[in-house]
Amino acid sequence: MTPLAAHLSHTAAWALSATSRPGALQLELEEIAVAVVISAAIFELVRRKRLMERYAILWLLAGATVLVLSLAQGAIQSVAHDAGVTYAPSALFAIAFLFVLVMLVQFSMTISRLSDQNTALAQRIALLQQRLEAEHPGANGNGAAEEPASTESALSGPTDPA
Amino acid sequence: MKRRLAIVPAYNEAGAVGTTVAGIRRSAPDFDVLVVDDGSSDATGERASAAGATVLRLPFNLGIGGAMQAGYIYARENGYEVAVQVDGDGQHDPRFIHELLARLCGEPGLNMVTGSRFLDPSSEGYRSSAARRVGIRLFSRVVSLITRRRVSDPTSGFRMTDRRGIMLFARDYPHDYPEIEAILLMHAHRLNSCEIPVVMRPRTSGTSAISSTQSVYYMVKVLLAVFVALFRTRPTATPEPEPSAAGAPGTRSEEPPAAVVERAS
Repeated sequence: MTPLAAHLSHTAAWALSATSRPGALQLELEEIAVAVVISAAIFELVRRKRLMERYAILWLLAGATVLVLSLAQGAIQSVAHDAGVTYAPSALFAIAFLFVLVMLVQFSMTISRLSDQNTALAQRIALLQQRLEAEHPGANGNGAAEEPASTESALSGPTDPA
Repeated sequence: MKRRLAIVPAYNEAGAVGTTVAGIRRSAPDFDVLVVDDGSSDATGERASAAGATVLRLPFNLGIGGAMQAGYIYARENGYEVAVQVDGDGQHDPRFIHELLARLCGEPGLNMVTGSRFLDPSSEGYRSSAARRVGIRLFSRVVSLITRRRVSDPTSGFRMTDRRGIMLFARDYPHDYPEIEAILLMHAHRLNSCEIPVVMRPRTSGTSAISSTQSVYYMVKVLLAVFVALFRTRPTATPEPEPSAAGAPGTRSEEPPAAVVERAS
């Protein structure tokens, strides 16, 4: 507790001397809370197997970075100072925003890959179905004729009255 | 005899696909007809089947690119030497199929022949709306500039490819609005294509795949694709030989070891 208290008082002193922000301590606590909540939520999703570890890593990294930077105010202040950012917490959020950008690009790449794989699967299903029907006209003719007919009636049903 | 295939992509074209299939079988009886039913909700598949076509039923709508690629994969796997794309909406007159074929077979080293609406300025027939012609002319300039060869109708889907074209398109085909990109893909793989004049008809049923609001997206998307394609390295080799050509057989060969590992663990 002592290092944290010392750290907090150091932050407060810096805040008062630099820009005199009464909300600096509260903001820091909020940052810690956000980081903890994000990390806990991601951990829980992975535990329930709702989120693959592969995609959890970036999220956890983002949460950890926010946590580390909000605890180590000295670090973020020096980073902010070097980057020419007068208000240190906004440097923190800028870093978090970069993480979000990286994640979004990763998602777009994932969607593109899944979309390609989805197309290949659909094509393969159509080719296999055609081959199956060609090789077993009697046995599969019934099944194949029934299935499209049922989907068709399901699809044309709502459109006919409209 | 060389095996030839007419690929007819059709999405909700129940009203026209039967006529199209019958027309191809009448005008080009040496061609097998494959209709790719792109997830239609109407009776497109049944009508095509009744008209005597082989039907590939895609489980959901993939768009023209995915549908055509399915057709090219079918052509590759069934050993076709020539494939021609004929749209299911009746715009492409199957009587020109043999003119495309004559040009493709008559000129050694030619891999693709496209039917162009604009090559013969005196000819009549359907030439799309005025607004679209402006766009087509722009793309015509761009594509001609890149390929260093006159391409008067880059958006025409009425095109015939040889075996090498089939192999290329089965492995890699542009997703949506594929015609322009397909020409550049051919060019990138150092395959040769040319145009012959054809007369097109207005569509007999259905609506165009591209609405007016989508045409802006079309322009931007295709221009982006064309621009990005300029920065891809051009492969010097021809499309790969048959066994390794497709992604699907490659992944299939990787499956058994994975299954063994799973069973062992």
